[in-house]
Amino acid sequence: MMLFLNRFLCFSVFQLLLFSGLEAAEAKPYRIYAITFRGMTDVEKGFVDYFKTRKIPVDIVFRDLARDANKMPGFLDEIRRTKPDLVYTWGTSVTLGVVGSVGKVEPAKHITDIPVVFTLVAAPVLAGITNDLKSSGRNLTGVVHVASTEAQMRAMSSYRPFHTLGVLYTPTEQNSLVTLAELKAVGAKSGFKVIERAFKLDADKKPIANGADVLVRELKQEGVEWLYLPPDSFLGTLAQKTIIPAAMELGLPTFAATEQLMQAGALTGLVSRYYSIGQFTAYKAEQILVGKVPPARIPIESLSRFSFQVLLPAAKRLNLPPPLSLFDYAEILTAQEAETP
Amino acid sequence: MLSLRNKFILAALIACLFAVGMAGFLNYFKFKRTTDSLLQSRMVLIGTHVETTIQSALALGLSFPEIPTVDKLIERERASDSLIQGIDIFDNEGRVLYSTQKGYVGRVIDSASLQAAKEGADKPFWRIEAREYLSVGIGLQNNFGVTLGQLVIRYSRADLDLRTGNMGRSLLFFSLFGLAAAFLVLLIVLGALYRGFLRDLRSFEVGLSRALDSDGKARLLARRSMNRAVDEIADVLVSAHGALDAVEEKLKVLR
Amino acid sequence: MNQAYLGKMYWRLTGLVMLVMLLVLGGLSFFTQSAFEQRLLPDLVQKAVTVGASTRSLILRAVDYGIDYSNLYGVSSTFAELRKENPEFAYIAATNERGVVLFESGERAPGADQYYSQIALSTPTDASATPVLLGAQYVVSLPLMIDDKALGMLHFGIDQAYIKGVMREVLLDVLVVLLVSVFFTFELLHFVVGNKLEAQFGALAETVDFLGSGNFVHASRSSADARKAADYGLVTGELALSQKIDAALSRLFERYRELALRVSAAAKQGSTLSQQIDTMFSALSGKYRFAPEDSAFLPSAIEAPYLERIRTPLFVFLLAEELTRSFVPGYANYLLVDVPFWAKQIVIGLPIVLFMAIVALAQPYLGPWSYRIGRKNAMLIGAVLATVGFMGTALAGDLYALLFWRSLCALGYAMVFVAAQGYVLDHTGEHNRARGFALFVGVFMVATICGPPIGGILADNIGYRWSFLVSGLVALVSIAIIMGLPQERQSDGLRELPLSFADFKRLIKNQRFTSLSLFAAIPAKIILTGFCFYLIPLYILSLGNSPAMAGRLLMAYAVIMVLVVPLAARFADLNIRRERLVALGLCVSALGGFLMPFFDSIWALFVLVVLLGFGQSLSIAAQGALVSDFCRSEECNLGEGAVYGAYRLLERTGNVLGPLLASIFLVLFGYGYTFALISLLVLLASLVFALASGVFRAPRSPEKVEA
Repeated sequence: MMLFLNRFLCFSVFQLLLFSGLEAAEAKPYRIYAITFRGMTDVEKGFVDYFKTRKIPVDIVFRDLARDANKMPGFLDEIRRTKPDLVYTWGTSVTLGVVGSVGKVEPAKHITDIPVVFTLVAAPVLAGITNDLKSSGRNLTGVVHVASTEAQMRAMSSYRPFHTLGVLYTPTEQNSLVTLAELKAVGAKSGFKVIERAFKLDADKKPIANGADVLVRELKQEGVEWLYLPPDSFLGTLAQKTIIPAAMELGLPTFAATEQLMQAGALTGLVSRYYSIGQFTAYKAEQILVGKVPPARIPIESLSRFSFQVLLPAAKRLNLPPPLSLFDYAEILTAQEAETP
Repeated sequence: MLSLRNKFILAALIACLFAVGMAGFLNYFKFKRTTDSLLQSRMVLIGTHVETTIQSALALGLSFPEIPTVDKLIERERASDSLIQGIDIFDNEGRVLYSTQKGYVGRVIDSASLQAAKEGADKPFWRIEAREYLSVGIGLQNNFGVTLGQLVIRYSRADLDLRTGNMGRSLLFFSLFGLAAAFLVLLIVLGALYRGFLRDLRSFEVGLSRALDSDGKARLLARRSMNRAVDEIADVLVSAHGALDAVEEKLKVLR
Repeated sequence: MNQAYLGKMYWRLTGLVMLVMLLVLGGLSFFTQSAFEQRLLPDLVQKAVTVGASTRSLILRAVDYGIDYSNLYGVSSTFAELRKENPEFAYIAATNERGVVLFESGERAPGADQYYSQIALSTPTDASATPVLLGAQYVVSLPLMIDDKALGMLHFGIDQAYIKGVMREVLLDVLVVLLVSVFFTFELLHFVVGNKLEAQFGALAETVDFLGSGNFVHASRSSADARKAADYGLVTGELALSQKIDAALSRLFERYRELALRVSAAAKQGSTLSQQIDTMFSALSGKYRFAPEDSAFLPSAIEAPYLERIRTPLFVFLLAEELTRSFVPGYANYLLVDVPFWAKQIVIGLPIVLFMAIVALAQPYLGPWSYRIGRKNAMLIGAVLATVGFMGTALAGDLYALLFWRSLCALGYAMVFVAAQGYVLDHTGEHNRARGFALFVGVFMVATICGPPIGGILADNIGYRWSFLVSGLVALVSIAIIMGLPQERQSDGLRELPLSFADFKRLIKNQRFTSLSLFAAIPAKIILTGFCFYLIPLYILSLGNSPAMAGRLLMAYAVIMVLVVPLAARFADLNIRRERLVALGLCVSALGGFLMPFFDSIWALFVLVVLLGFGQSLSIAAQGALVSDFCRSEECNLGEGAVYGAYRLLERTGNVLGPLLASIFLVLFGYGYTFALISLLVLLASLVFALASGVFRAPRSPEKVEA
């Protein structure tokens, strides 16, 4: 029911946009200032392509933070100077650097008078970007790239039903703690047990990579049927080299929360394709630029349809072929695709 | 002027006509709806298959008007079912992007389809019943829920009409046959009932006539329940005459 | 020999017709069933082929990715999913190249294994799907090929029970039709056979009664009536009986007259004996009636056939309106337009509210009007208006048009209703008025049994518009039948005067009358129209059911009424106080509503309707009787007609309030609580009425009752 309603609403909004889109076609291009975190990704490709197919003239300036927070003030100055029509921010750090967290916004430093559209943020409420996904209440909106924990669990059990789930996480990452709590809540509701292992911390409370494979083995011994890979930054750095190989060794299937983890070799996952995320971000930008909708009135959303990806070589190695119905709608990744992220 | 018996039969026959007619009517429409929904669900099934394929392509980042496999796919689907007249895919402005019909691409779809798509936006699929064909349409959405266009499958109406027409004729035949049978049975059964009715009346009449002719003195031996009234009348007549007799006797004495 | 004999005769006849219908419909169902099976099968097979093709492509894709066919995972659950989406498939299986079942969902038909291995060997390339009947399944098999190499086969078992189920859904409607046919046959008998036969029977029966009681004068007159009626066509085709009665009577009269002369001559003698004779002779006329001067004015038996003649036109006309009962709200919903500041539910209720309001308000004026222009003419005008109204409703473009045309229907309905009532009044005297109204109510009830279910079935199959057109046609037929009514003799009619405001005020001051009206009559109508005419048809649609179901429920209500009202009347004759019956009936009718917040099923609605019918039946007759109990003094002054007129007017405001209240509650609380809330209101009203009329107090002593 909600789906139909949603469909309907989108339809009418779309019609509205169409109309104004045609009008705008002859006007001068919209100026967009885009800041990325680690260079160009498929997100930007989807973003640019969207405007192209919609024939909306845009003039996009790309700036790369290259994981270096020191570059941020220069970008902010440039934004103030050039006064673009819209600012695009990639990831949580960039977004926070541009708009500041709720309650700690410094008007002199952060951008408040230019609409901001963020993308690829896993948990905007947790990150302090907004208090409410329905409306930011600020001059910004954006796109979340992680599917709800419940949807991920449904996807996992549709691949192979399970009773016990293993999770690895970094205890200092707020994001992971929240995911863990959500997992337990969903588990209590749908009747599965969650067994977790935290990465060890050093004296500076920094997580250490040593012993990660041991943790995987421990989980296997505890009888977990799946290893869930949450959107955890530290885990992301270990996934391809240590964690996933260890799990494969033990015959333990892995479920990825992000496309990045999928590319690291996880068996399956419910993820957002970066390209689609980019298109959705552009759609929101279009609403602001062409539809003249205030950003605060545009909800912060994830895609309505995620990609259910399966890495076929992993499935064969684990002797866990995907359920027949998945061949209808899942993206079956063969080895070559997986190896070239 | 119809005789009473024939009136009975006429009434019964009209009632049977009503019942049999309604039953035939119900069966006819049930058949029509069942066949219709079977055909429709088949078309929706095919449509959904195309929809899934298009959505996978969209998720891979292909732009909606430029998915290379769609032309072949819809042609294959059309060929797979003899009922299908054509499959078209059009965008929100009604511009046909893909079609199984040559020269359709680039044209604007009929306004009925556009209208139906607009009204059916909140339903899983919509349908049109035109004079020459039927069609079902399915909205095509990208993976953030925006409707990009519609898929419409046109299929033959003649087939459905032919089949329901045949069923209608069969039902009509059955019904007429049933009515004829009912008429025969009624003729026999109501005849018997009517004879019983007449017998009751006759015996009443005979009994009453006899009682009246004899001023109540003659009674019938055979008693039917309704003849109790006859006895009563006979008694009254006898006693009335008796009372008059008594007066007459007295008068005789007086003289 | 009496009227009851004829009634028995009709029922026996109806029973026989029913039996014949049952046989014929049974036979028809059998043939239809096989025709259905034969003709639906190709479509089902084709669907299996379509579903099979997509399943096949799925399996082939998986195999293409290098997964071993026998090693596929989740195939059975995919099959189970397919079966859930397509209930006509009882079984889906995939076999290997030797015909051994690898994956399956549903119950394997007996002999399937053998069949699978058999066809696996013979023609694995045969793509033309021919169904084979195994057990209760038509099995369709499709080959699974990859690069000309047979992988195995897909098998779809089409459920024979599914096809039977399609028929079974019709069967319920056919049963409803059968039940309606019973009443229909009965009415038809009255129409085709009735008038004349009944007239003759009536006169004859009366003659016999008079004869039996020694009332020879009246017997003679009735006999003349019978002869007159017999001119239409005698029962047995002979006039002898009537002549014999006359002969026997004239013999009696002859003797009597002769004796009378002799007795009066003898009386002149003045002797004791002659005096004795005179006394004796006078005593005779105490026991028997010989002389015309003994008789007062006698309403002729010939009135009865005139009375009976209102039956069919009234029935046909009421049927036209009753047909629409189950789908008027649905139609309003269909034609709905946005009316600013009005909630949707209230707008949907408007056509009913307006209809009821017009009927209620017009009635007091229409009575005298129909008297003035003649009952038949009034009925004709009403029927014509209603016919136009129905046709217009069928073509209505939007809700405003619907409101207009329905108003026309309402006016026509009120005219016919009032004129027919007047007709009954005109053709009955004090002694048989009750019978006249029983006839009126009976016709009304039969129409409420037959109309809604048939109308629902029609709306379900041919749509709202065509159904209204059918109503229009039925109304058109009623015009033709009304034209056959006799032009009445104006002089015999009872004059009804419109109720004056002063009289109304006087009645209102009668507290018992007011409490009866406010706390019993109006609530009873509120719950009736609110539930039956508004909430139920809409709620049924919201549950995803068809108007036919609403029609069945309304029929259930009417059937309960027909069954229980006579029983309740017997209760009322027993020494049960009428106030108690009224309060109890109201309570019972309200009970069902409390189920609705908890269950949203048809069965709960069925219970509600049965309780409603039961409660209304209990209280309805008692309510009417209480009016005259409560208003003895007013009745003497204002006349019975005026008192009842006022009562009915008040009662009918309930008809207007019912759908109005229901729609307002519906906007605020949703279906479940609306049912419950109206029930609660009615329950409270019944309590207030019970308290006000002293139901809970000990029975009052006889003296007090007198006072």
